[in-house]
Amino acid sequence: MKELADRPLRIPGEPWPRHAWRLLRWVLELRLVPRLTERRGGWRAPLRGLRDGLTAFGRVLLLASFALLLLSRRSQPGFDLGLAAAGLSVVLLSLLIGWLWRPRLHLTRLEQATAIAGRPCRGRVRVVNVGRRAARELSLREWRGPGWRALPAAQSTLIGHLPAGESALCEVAFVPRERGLLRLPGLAAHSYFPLFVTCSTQRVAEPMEVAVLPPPLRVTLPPLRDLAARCLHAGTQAARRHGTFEYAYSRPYQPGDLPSRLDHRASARRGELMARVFHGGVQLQARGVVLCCDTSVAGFEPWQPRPRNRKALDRRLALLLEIAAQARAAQLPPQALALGDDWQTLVDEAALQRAVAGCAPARGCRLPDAPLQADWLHLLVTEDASPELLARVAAWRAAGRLVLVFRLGGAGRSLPEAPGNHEVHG
Amino acid sequence: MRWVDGLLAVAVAAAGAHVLLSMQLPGAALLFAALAVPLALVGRLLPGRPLVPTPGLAFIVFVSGGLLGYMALVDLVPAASWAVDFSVFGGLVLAGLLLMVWLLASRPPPGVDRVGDPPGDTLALAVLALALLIPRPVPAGVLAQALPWLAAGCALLSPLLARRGPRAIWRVAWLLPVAVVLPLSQAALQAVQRPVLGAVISALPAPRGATGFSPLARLRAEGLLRPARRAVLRVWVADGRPPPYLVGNRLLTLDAQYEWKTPSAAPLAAPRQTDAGRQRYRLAAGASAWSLAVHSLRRDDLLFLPPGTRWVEVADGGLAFDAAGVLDGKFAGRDERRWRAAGGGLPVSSAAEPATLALPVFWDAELQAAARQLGGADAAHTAARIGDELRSRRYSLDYRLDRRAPLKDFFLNRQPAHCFWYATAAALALRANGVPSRLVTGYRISEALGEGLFLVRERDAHAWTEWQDGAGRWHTLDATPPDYDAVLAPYGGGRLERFWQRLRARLDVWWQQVELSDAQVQAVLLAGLAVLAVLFVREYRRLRRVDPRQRRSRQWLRLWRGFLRTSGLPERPQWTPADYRENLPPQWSAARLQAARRFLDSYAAARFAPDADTASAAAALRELRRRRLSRRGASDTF
Repeated sequence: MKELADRPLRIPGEPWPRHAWRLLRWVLELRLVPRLTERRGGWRAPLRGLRDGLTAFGRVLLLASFALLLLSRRSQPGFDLGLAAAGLSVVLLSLLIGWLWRPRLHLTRLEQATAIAGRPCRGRVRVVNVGRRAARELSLREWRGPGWRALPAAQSTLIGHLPAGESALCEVAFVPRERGLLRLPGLAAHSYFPLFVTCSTQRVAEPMEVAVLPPPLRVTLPPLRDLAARCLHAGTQAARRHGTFEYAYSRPYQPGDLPSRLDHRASARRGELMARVFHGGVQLQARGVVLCCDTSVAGFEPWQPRPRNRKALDRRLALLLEIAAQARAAQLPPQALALGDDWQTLVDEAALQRAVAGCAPARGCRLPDAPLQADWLHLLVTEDASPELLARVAAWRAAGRLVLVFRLGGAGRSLPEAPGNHEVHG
Repeated sequence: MRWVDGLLAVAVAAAGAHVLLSMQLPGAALLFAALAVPLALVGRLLPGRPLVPTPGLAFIVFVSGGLLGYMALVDLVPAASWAVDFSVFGGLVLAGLLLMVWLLASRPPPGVDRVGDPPGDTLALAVLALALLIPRPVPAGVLAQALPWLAAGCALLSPLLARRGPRAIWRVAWLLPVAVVLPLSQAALQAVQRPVLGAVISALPAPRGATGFSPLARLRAEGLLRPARRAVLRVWVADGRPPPYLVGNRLLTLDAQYEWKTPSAAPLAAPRQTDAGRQRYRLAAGASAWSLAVHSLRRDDLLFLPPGTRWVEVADGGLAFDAAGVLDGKFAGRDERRWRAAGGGLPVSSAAEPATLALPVFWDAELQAAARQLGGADAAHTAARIGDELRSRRYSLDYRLDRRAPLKDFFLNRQPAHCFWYATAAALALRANGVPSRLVTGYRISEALGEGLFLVRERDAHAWTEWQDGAGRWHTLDATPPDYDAVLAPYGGGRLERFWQRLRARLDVWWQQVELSDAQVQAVLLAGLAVLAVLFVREYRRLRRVDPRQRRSRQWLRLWRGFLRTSGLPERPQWTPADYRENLPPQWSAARLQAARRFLDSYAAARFAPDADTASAAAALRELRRRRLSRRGASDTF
């Protein structure tokens, strides 16, 4: 099913009949059912009212009462019209009382959320009752929109009683569908007062942008320092940085340290695990890492505004996040990121997450021309070892940068056997 | 036992008793009402609570209920109960009752401060639907009238009680206005019932067609007929070429209200011969030139036979004419509505009855003169001329005749109409020329499915005329114009539907060759039930095995959320416990840091270990809570 955003682009010099043929195919596969949104009015207002104004219990009560009204004719004395009258009266009365006692709330989001595609994301909202009466039986949810879905209403938190002028913290959960920068437009508050048959709904525009990250990749990576050390031993870096294996000092154990470097005596003395540090080839002289990802997607044709497979980049970016986390654990903070031609400085973890969430796929291999500082370890993630990519990596290495390339196993071309090139199977 | 459990137990007991009373099973209703509450309690008192019914288990229970209803409900309930006619639905409802009791006994306590309580809500919804939509017995006693009200009332209050506890019982006061306005709203609904029903019916799409065979034979001055497509008979021609007509009834007199009448139904005076459980009735003497078998798909037990039938054979049925003069076979079941017939030649009766020459009171001189103009040298010549004259006209399902004298308008002004008018005109014109005649209604066989198999639909309902010659033989005269077929063609099935009908007929032929006795059928059904029971036990045991693991996962998740809530740390999906441990805010007090680290260590060590116990992590969390650590300041540092 295609959408308006998939409208085929006109390639310069392309014959018109071919473009028309693509347009026709796009129209034939176009999604015609509009997505459910929270906008007011429109022809779907009654449906929305039925959905937002009645609980499941109220819907069944209303429909069963109406069916009973149709069934309870004189010829069918077994069906009780009084029961139908009572059911419809309860629904109407509940609607009336719920409308009269509808809550007046002020809602504020408390934190910037980061979400993972396909997994529930919980955010906190401060609810302030600005009305004159106490608000009862409240629950919150996000506005309906195309990029996410709400969790079942039964799992929402219920605020039983909120006196006038007081506030409470409430949890709002939703499940984003795919990676991206998600703009949540607002919040809706339901009050089930008085009988849990109907609910009065208040909508508050409270926009928020959420960075939706790709689902985590189940991979096991060797420690980065270990990988870099191997590269220093065997690669061109070894000759340049040749040094002695001389004991320097012991420090507390960090994840990623080799077991053979454990200093058992010091560990026994200090009561915690200690690792020995040597000056020389295996001691990486780096102050941080720079991250780079090949964003080219196979089968991304020139007439396509976006690739058909929206999740083509997700595995690569998930690996990038995994590597960044591992680098941070190995005391190598990420300093810069390249998801295209240019480097961008990473001031904090949120910047990395936002960049990853908003990363757009490219048609060809796009990497920065020049590497960054020499004392930063360069980490590159790809799924296809294309000649362009290999040439660029060779240029960086020739410029004296220590570059580790990680290729995710799949349909792409493999990396040549060389120190610093690693195949990852996830 | 909480309040809501008691309320739901009463609701289920009342709904079950209402359903069973509706089926006219008062003993069972009493027993259910008495046992529903203790049964619900048994589940809570047992050391291991039964599993909550999953959709798969509920499906098996429903299928078993439908099967048992089909097999046994007819024998269990009184003949006047609705469950006799809707035995499968009755079985499904009883299965639903069983599931409700099961759910009542197994439902876990609802989550604290959650909007929903799915098992409780499901119970309340089911009770509400049963209370409202299952009819009460007629005449209903006080108890039978009160039960649906009690069930619906308890179901209405249960969601409130489940979420807000006993203090919410005061909300019942909000329902008092309903009791006050109830007579008024009932009167209002009574007033709007007919318009609403009319609006609903008119809003529904018009049915494809509903007109078909009807033994009631009144001529109407105007009409817009939409023949039904529904298949009603399957005919297999075994030998010879039977006439393409199947006779329903033969009508003799037309009264002043334009209604054809048949003489009062006489008992079938045909000798009967029983052979291997089949009854063979000899309707006329003589040899047979053709034979056929018919399978009726109609909802009644009416028999349709070609003219000239010598004998008819039915299985375990008795034959008698009904009030409209149609042969009625007393078939045991829907699948047994089959008969075989054989015959040949023309039906013969000794002397012409006076009724076959009687003309209606509105037959005036003008009509007589017009009819006499069609007379011939003899009866056969007259019949041929009348047939030719009427067949040269136009057939129509949408006709409008003069209301004061519709027959005159039709006959003299050559107005188009449907077959019943043509058959009437032919019969009366024959009588006006002194030829005994009668009107016949039934079906015309027109749709061949191949290899001697024919399908008869409701649209093939037809009327024609029989006239008698001097030798007492009855000849068929079909005076309907030939464009009849073209007009009715759109009311047949499409290519796919015809393929489906052919396939069904072939399957039916194959199934008839599989001769199963009643005991064998019962054995097959019981085997099906046994398979369902095995599936049920297997699925239940599998879920029992899976359940502890899921429960442990839920416990861990609850612990983790409790930790986040207690410590005030934000939820970071991409962080492991080790990340949390390393990034604990340094400004926390030492005791606070130590308690948080202890929890994170035990969580990381035991969460994904096989058969790991949550006890140590839970103890660490309890310790964290005991210290009453402040939540403030935690989120600022993250």
